[in-house]
Amino acid sequence: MPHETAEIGRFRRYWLQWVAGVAVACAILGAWYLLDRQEPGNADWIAGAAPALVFAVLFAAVLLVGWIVYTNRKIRRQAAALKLSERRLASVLENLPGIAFRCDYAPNWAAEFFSAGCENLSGYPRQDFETQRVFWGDLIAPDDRERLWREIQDSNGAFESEYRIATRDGEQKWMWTRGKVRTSEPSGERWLEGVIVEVTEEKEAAEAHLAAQREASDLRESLAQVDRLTLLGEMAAGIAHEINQPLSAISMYAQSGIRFLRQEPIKTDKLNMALEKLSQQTHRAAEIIQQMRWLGGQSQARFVEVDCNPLIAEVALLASSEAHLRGIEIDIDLCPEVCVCHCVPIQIQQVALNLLRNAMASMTAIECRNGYHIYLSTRCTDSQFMVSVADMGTHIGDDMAPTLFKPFSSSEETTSLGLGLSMCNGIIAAHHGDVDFVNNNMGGVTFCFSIPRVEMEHS
Amino acid sequence: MKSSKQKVFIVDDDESVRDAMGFLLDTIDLPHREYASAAEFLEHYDDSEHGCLVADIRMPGMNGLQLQQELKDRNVMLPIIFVTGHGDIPMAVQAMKNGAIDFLRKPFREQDLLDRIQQALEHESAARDRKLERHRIRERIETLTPREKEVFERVVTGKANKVIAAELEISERTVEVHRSQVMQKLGVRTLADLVRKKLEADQPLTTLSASRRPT
Repeated sequence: MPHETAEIGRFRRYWLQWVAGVAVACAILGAWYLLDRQEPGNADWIAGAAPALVFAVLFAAVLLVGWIVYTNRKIRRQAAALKLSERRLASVLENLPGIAFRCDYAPNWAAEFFSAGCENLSGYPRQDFETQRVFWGDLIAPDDRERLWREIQDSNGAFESEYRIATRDGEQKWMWTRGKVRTSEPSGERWLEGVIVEVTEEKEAAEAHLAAQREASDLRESLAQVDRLTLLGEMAAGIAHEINQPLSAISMYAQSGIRFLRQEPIKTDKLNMALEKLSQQTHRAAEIIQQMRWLGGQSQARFVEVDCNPLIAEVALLASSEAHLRGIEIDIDLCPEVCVCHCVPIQIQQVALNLLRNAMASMTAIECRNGYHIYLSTRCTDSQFMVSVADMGTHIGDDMAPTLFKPFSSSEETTSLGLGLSMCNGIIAAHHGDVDFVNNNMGGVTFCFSIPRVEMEHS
Repeated sequence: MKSSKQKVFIVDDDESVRDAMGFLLDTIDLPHREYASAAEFLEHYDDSEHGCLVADIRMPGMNGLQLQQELKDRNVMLPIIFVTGHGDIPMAVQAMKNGAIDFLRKPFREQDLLDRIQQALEHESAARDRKLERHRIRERIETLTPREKEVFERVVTGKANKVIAAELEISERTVEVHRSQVMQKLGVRTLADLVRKKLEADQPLTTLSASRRPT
């Protein structure tokens, strides 16, 4: 507004100059006319000058009237424009879906100005805020109130936050506020200015999205569980065989002990040795059970940071019993470096076990020209942890390749659900990693997967 | 009739099982030797050794069935007792069909194993005796003259002297002389014994047990 007043003032001055200039010019013209007509000693000059004077005065009057009419119109136009702009501004503020505010720098947000949106958001009339009968700060959920105030205090002038309020009807709404802490220079008085927007829908959508993600993750974990149990079932023969070994040894040592005891004289050294070995075998059996326990267990898909090499070593141990049964040897080549990854250990083990089982299955019941070896190796790069499983079974044909990672695409000769590889793919994708395969020169396939490695900041 | 030289050969890829079985055999003072694989056993085994074999059916490399076949091919007559880990019933059946003495599932009752081993050893010993006997009979048969052999062949089929004489176009008296020669050379007194010798001699040398073998 001050800007416009100055404009009008300038305009007026400009016109005054013109009017004055023209009037002076007329006066000079009239004078000159008079002097020209005047004969010396003619006292009637005044009568002669009168028309010129009248002309000048009239001219000046016409100009003055023109000016007044013109400036009035101009001022009216400008005032109208100003009104319009004010109306627009007010309308924008009134119709703002959120609240534009200016309030005290205090936890209760005592309002100085709240735009009309506050009625819609809170259910309280605008006057209640502006007459300070209702305080915005009191509407904020108790859990959020302190946090928000702390955030405002800690901010260096500008703040942005999300919090819940309770409306007049008791409904809970999520608010997003962005504002500034203003300080007036001389007095140091502070106040808050900014906007408040409702984000309940966005918040709910985000929560629904999170819930959906959680559900997907739960589903994946259940599937993983099914896959592990399937694996466990498939490996039962190998594991039972593996446990039977120490069990029969234990039984024989025990029986030998009893027999040594019954004999005269008692062979104490033999008896001692038998008991010693019996005890060792008990531990061996326990270890085998320990190895497989994780396969059957119910476990949460919890991400932790862990060195992955020992995980793979455990899997190799578990798989070796079955490999042994099938007359296959697993050659293990683990990277000596500590390689920490952000992963779900059991799932990484499951992927490795699946790949090993596939490798074994591919080499069973066929004549492997190059021998019966599986090469399991791990490697660490600056950013990745990689595991590869190379077998000597059969190449994967072009017809199989595209559906290899799809569920239920098991080849006919296996009895598995065919979840294995799709499972692996899902798990590794959830770890932001990759699974891939390539036909190798040993007649079989090399499967490998990699997951990102955690940066070691202190090293 | 246990021979003092009989040994138990243990072939199992699991060290603890081998070792424990050794302990068990020690309790009855049975000599034994242990091998970690079929190949190792075949490498060290020498034909002159007697006893029985206790082998795991499932082993890396050559499995129990393959070992059994290999021994058969080599005319080794060791009785085999198979032990199996977990439900290898089809393999066990195959093993029995191929002439295994018995099979036990791990973990087994130790007394069962010892009993089977004893049986197998007795069996082997008896079989070896019979093999020797057969060998002796065959040697004696070899000492017969061609004519005596002809008479022998016909006598054991139950033909009367008269018929033999007619067939060979010799006198009945001559047949009688040959016949008594045959009886003397083979060391028998009655026709029944003679027939038994003949039957025994006709058994192949490598057959372990006529009674147990499914024909």
